[in-house]
Amino acid sequence: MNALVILTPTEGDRRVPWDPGDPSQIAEAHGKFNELVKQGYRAYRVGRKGQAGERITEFDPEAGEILFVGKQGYAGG
Amino acid sequence: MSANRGTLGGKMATLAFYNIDSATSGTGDYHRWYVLDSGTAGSGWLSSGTVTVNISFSYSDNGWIVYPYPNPTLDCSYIPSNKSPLIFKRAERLLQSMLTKQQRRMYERFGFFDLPSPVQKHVAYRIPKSGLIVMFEHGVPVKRLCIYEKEGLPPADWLIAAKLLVESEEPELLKIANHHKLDVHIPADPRVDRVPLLLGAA
Repeated sequence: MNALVILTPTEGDRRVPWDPGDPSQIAEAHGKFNELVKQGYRAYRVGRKGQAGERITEFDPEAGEILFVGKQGYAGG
Repeated sequence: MSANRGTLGGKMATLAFYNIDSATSGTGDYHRWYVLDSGTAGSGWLSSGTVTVNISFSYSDNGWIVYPYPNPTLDCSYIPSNKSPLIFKRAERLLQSMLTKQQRRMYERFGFFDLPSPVQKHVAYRIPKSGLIVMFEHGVPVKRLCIYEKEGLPPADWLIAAKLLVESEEPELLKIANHHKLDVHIPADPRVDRVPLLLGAA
């Protein structure tokens, strides 16, 4: 399933699925991707079952699941 | 931010926390406080500047129980959480779907999983449910890395974020995190330091 998965503090993971065969849904997902990155989220192409994730800065319609995290960034403690 | 009655060194004080569900900091009536943890249970410290008290905490019934470590019978504090238990369960499911079978087994048994450094062959990281990331060199734990995500994610979501940082942004992780010696933050669960690294593709 292709989806944008947004990790949020209050709602947990919020999923925005898209159909890779539907150009209008791809365009919508692309727009949402850009919006989330602009908000400060880091985007990662994620694999299942232990595959390493990879940070991406451009929307990839082939990515499967793209996970968004860290809107406010990170800090050392 | 939430404020709660609590104690430090036996003295009652108001604790003010920024987002208790993740690594946090805040100020009290008389003290500066730090609570460092990103797991569902774990340990960290509270500091008044001159006095530092090791603490442990666990999540229970929609709230956090904070108590001094290693004596949990003294000065317990209860800090309610505003998060739904469902969020925690969903985060756990997502995390488990992203782990290898071996990592999943390790996480279920010990509450942590191991990841090799993508760049440095002799380096690996242990991502614990409770406490700080442990850095290993040549199979030996050498330091703890304290880093937190400012929004305050559910613990398992934070573990996902930490996994992604190691896998794709290791230099940034090492740059942002504070590096601590192993004896500065003793984990509530000694297995975090003692269980041998398990790095496999299974």
